[in-house]
Amino acid sequence: MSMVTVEKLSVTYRGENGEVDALHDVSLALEEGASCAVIGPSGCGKSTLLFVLAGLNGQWNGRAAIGGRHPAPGRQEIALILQDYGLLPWKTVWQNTVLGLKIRGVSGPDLRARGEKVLRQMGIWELHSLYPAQLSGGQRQRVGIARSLSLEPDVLLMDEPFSSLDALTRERLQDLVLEIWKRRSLTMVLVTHSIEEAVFLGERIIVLSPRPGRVVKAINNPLAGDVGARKDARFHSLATEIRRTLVEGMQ
Amino acid sequence: MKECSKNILPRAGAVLVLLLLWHMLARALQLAILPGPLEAFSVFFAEMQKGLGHHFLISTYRVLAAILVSFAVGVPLGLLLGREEKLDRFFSPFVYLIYPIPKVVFLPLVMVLLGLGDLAKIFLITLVVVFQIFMTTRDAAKGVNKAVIYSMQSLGANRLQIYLHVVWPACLPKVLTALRIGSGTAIAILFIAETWSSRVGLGYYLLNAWSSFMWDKVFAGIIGMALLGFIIYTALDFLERKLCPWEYV
Ligand SMILES: Nc1ncnc2c1ncn2[C@@H]1O[C@H](COP(=O)(O)OP(=O)(O)O)[C@@H](O)[C@H]1O
Ligand SMILES: [Mg+2]
Repeated sequence: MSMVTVEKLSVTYRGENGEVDALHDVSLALEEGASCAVIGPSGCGKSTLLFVLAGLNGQWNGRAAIGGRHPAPGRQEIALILQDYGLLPWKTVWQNTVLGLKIRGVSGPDLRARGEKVLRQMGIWELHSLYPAQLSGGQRQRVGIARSLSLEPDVLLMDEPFSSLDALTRERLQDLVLEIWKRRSLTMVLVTHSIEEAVFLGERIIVLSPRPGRVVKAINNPLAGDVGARKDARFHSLATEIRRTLVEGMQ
Repeated sequence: MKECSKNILPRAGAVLVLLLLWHMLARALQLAILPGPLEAFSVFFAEMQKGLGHHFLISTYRVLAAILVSFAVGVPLGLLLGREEKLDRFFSPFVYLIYPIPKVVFLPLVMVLLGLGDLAKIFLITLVVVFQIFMTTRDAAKGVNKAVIYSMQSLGANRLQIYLHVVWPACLPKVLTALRIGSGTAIAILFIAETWSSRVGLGYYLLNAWSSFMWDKVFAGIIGMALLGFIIYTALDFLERKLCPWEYV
């Protein structure tokens, strides 16, 4: 049984200025422990797809399930990481990190142990008493990841998590996510508009067309998960293929 | 602490500049109606030992009570209507109709209904200030970043937890600003309310001095009002530093 299932998913937003078709007949299936990168032009419905899976968008047609169950917000085994604003500016790194645990009723020594462990893993324990405004973009996103991992999820949903970071910081965080994904055998859905990121992290790469997003191509990517992949010649030929597919999808 | 001492110097400087300007103006004009700061302050301190102290305390009580009630009513309502669209759509037409009416016009009515004592005055001030606080809070609550709410929901937060962890702290700095602005309004309304068939309060004291041409006492009263405003302002500054440390990093 697959961990993440999406079949013929269509989403239409009904706003004040009429209807917007955001996704059309999108399908994908992920086994437990697999990773998938969703790539497509901006506005094609990538975030919409993640929000459906996270249970934050309830207006859709088709089928979507995680672990065989209907998506719902706050499900124990699902963690969502957003691009910029996942953190609360009025809470310190520590308070932000343990917020999910607190909300789920963890407290006392258990809370302290889990919070400290995950902050040390992310290499930001020293920053625990600072506020988000005092951190660099990369450090902030580490806190966001720490907060998600503290909940020990099975499924990690990430919406352009590194797109506002500089190139080197981004690569370092991609390495970190790769390591976590392998070690914890997470099932991962990564939305990105970076071709390199998709090739580096997605065992399966779903290329979407402009709005309404349809699957233009689903590519199996043997390079994903290899720490040295960026230097591999095949890395670049695959990136070129995806670039071509994206361009074709635009027409 | 460092932040506080950073503020003290410019503030003391501003006080000095104002006093100096006042002094020079009084010197230049040489009018009984405008005593210099030295005389005004010496009368102020003398009067504080006598009747003025009592008036000052009563006025302080009225303003603080009105601000507290406005806060207790305006903030929860503002947070709620800012976040719950249906409620807002139902209530906002009423708000928009009532908001522009200058509430002071109800002073006679309020006095008939609530009497000539503290209650009527506190009510009238509240009537004005509560709108300012409510409107600011509601707009701030509406503007809370969606992404933050989404990530809270995905962590499993319920409504109450979202209010507590996100909406309230997000609005708090703006609420404090609204309180600061509201305190100025409160003192202005207080003055009007206390000059109407009133027996105590800074407004009464001022009017009394005014109508008996005791200009130095008028200025003692003005200093009293300025002091009241200054104390509230400084207290709110202090509160903001205590309650919103993330704003100062
Ligand atoms: N709440 C909403 N109401 C109406 N339209 C929306 C809403 N959210 C997103 N959209 C529209 O749906 C389309 C897909 O949005 P989104 O999933 O955020 O795209 P992406 O993440 O790929 O950039 C966009 O055209 C966007 O304007
Ligand atoms: Mg998006």
